[in-house]
Amino acid sequence: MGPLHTDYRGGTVTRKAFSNIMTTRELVTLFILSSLGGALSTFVGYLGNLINIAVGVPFGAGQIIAGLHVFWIVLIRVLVPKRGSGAFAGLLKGFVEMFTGSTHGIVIVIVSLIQGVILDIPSISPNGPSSKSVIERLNWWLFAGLSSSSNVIVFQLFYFTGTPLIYISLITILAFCSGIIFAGYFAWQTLAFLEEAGLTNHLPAEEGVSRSIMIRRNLPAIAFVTFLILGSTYYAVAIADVFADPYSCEVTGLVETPYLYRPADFSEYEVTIVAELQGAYTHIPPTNYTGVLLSTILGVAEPKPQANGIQVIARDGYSITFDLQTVLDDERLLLTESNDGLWLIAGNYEGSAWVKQVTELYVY
Amino acid sequence: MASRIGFMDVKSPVHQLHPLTKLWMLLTLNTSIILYQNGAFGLLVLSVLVLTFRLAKVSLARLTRKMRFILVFSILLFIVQVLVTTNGTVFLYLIPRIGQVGPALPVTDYGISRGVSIMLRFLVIVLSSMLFVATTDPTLLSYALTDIGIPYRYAFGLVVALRFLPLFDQENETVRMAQHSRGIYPEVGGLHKILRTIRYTFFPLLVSALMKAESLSLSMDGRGFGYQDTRTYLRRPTWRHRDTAVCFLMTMILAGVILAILGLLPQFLSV
Repeated sequence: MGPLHTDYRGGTVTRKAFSNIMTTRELVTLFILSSLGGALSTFVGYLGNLINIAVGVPFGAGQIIAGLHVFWIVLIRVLVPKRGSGAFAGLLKGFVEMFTGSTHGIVIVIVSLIQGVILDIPSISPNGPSSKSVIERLNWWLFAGLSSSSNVIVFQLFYFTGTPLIYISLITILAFCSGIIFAGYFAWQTLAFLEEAGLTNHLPAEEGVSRSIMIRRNLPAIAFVTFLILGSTYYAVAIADVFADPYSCEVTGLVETPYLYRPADFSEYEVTIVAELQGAYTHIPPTNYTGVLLSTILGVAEPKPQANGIQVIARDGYSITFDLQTVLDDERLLLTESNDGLWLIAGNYEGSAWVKQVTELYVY
Repeated sequence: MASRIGFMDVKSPVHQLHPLTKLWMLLTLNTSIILYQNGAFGLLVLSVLVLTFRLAKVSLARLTRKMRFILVFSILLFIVQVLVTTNGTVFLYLIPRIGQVGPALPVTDYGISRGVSIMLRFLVIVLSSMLFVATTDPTLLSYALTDIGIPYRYAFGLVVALRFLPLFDQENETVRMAQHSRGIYPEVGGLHKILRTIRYTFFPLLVSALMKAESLSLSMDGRGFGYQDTRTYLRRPTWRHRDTAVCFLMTMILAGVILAILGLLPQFLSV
């Protein structure tokens, strides 16, 4: 059996335009590897879920092997170096996973398709990795990591809302690293193995190359990936407010001047009230709360004449509505800074009107 | 790889629907449940889904192990949503006040309603996919895809991919036994061992798969695969009036959901 994509094999009778996009041999390789990848990914998925349950979290820990899902698409993308082969392989692999009983149902098709699309981004060398080019290898590893970590975002959209950003960031980085290891490094090794076995000719055999030369060659790639991982971790952990400042909230809707409210800009308007939280199960005794009245915050935004209500929206999606005129007249309704963001203190209302982590004041 | 849910060839009204009708049902149902996050709507859809399983003569009891896993996962999803949602009316604290410590981890009405909504969404997505898989012949689905303009060279991929699965099961078992006979067992202690275990499993299967790809493509080329724009079929799915009716109904449901989200549905029609 000769190399997969470079040799022209006589006897191919296809003649239509789309046949030139992928030869029968490339198509069949894509079909069969997607099948194998889909079948094995289902079980990698089970394994990941078992790791999650063993650790006691619904998701996250299993991301340590997330790269194994992308490994197959990477392999196909290299062996079938045609535009769209990554997306097609991702789609087909996703369908195979669904048909073989993935616990995520049709969502897995979308996850797999997006992973394939990311690997199709043109910055990946169309000919796959080359041991001669560090940049190509960097692209290879980087996109494998990105593709692997994309599943975290997609699953977030479908199954989770309001999960702490720090947790999401950490498991995204975990999936990214897994992608680099399994879909980058391991896929590289696999291609070298296939080359040695005479099945492909993408990678020149590196027999005879000393270990020190191998390490030296890989140093820039390793340094770059390390920099990315450390940088991302620092970004997520130390500069978390880059994603969303918990001590600010948007004032939007039917107002003349929508703006981003920040307590520091209103320090001279701060008032202190005594309020008591009385809920069915919660009771906070009378306490001093210092903050800015909602009427002051809304006054700066200048509600339009037709506005008649305000919706206070929290980070977790919770919202509560008030009559606009009542809010403008209320001197015991304020936003105060707590240790986890802005809280709405509603001195004249029951406990459910007290909102934690306020992110938006929507006038309607 | 051996125990998996797959197409169950029984005679039922659901099985007799056109594969594209079932695909449309799956897409509209999942889109609806994702767009409209409402516990009552989720419960309604889930109930209809369970009834459809009965109508399709597909027993969920046969999938005990898988169902157990799905239920455990959905409960975990519910717990996480309750824990991360602190707003709303507090029902109780998981960690009550003990002296100066606590209370912490409040359980609120909003947290519970959100947890239920997400849990139902997960169950609907997974169960509807399982129903689709159990009642849809993948070969017919592949052929049906050509009806909506997908070239048969590409639609054929699903047939090939699924046709090869039993073969990979067999290969995997052979590789496993060959390794055991040589004293090689899977090891997971550390990254290096995990990689070695994966290499031992993946490489033989990969070589075998590539060799199969070679022989199959030769065979397909020899039979003129791709020579014509169209091809002939031994079996073809038939579109009936009931397919039109079901598609219309599902489209109406999706439209209703969109109207409800936009607040354009009369209150008495909202779930």
